[in-house]
Amino acid sequence: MIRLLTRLAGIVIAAALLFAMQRTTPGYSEITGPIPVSGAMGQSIAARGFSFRADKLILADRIRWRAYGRDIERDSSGLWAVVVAEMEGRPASVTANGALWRSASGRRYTPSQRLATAPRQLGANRLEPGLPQRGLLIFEIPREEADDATLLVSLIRWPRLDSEIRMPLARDRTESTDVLDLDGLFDG
Amino acid sequence: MAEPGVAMPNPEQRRFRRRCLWALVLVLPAAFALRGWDNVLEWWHGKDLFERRIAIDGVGQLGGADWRLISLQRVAERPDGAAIVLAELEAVVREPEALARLPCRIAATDAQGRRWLPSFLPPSQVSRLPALRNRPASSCGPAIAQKARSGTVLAIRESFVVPRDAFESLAITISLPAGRPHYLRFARNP
Repeated sequence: MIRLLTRLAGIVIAAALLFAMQRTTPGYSEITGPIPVSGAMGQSIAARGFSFRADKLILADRIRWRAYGRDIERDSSGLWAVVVAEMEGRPASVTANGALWRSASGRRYTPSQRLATAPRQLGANRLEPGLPQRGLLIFEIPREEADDATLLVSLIRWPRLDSEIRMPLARDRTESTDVLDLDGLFDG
Repeated sequence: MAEPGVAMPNPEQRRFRRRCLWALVLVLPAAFALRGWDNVLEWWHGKDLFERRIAIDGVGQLGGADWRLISLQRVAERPDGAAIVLAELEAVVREPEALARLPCRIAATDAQGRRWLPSFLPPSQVSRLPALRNRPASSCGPAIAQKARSGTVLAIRESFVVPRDAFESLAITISLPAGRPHYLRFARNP
């Protein structure tokens, strides 16, 4: 009788263990997903293949710049979020165009496509080792998605088994303005 | 004591079970090896693992051609501290089929392990360099993909954007599918 009970207990424990393992097994996309690298604004963060530093975030209603001899201005029904940052390929030349704005509600925004001629956009040019590039990541976001957002930066938009920098955008490094002159950010 | 209804295995069955268990020690690694063999081969032929150091004026054999670095020169400087460097190479075709496999990887490296990939230099900028005006050359990919006959001399030119201070210790590496995991490294101090 005791032996029968012991066996029964063994079977129940094994079943419980298997059930627990089945429920906690991470999915394939989770196992092979991005490798997070956390960091704060103002710090230089080394990821696999590149380094990144975000100095400030500027929220603006309108942005303007000069291209082909004329002034161009873009407004938005939401906000323009302009991240001033520096990036460098390390240890080899890379192209990094995987920046995303992740809002507090979990929505993700890619950099705006409405700014083809805007100056100094990071992600457009190749990053060379030893030649850090100072430039901009510009997102167009709804007003309510501006607070407590996180900046995600990686070499490609959906990295697999590769670094993804996750940087909370700090309020003390955020400025707001009505009109932002992009060219003026780099003068002097 | 045997329980009623449960037959005890006889010694022969026991021996068979034990052998099966021991066989797992061999069978499992063998199964992993068989399943992963293609991946291992792909990794082996995709990586630059073994360097062949060649003097800056020497000749190196790789991937069905004899390679020579004709010149490595700094042709322009930019205000941001970058220098534009041109590497001119010559490949004498020995095995056209092997050489024509793409991709061709040419890079510039320095003493700190930094690695620059070729940059596109607009033709307007190249034509401004008197030394290059009458010397046609293409980048590595198009040059080797044309499957030139054995004995043909291919002129290859690549440009790199590097920090000014890196030029003095710059070396050029060449890696080809038919040559990997070996690659050539032309360095001033081999």
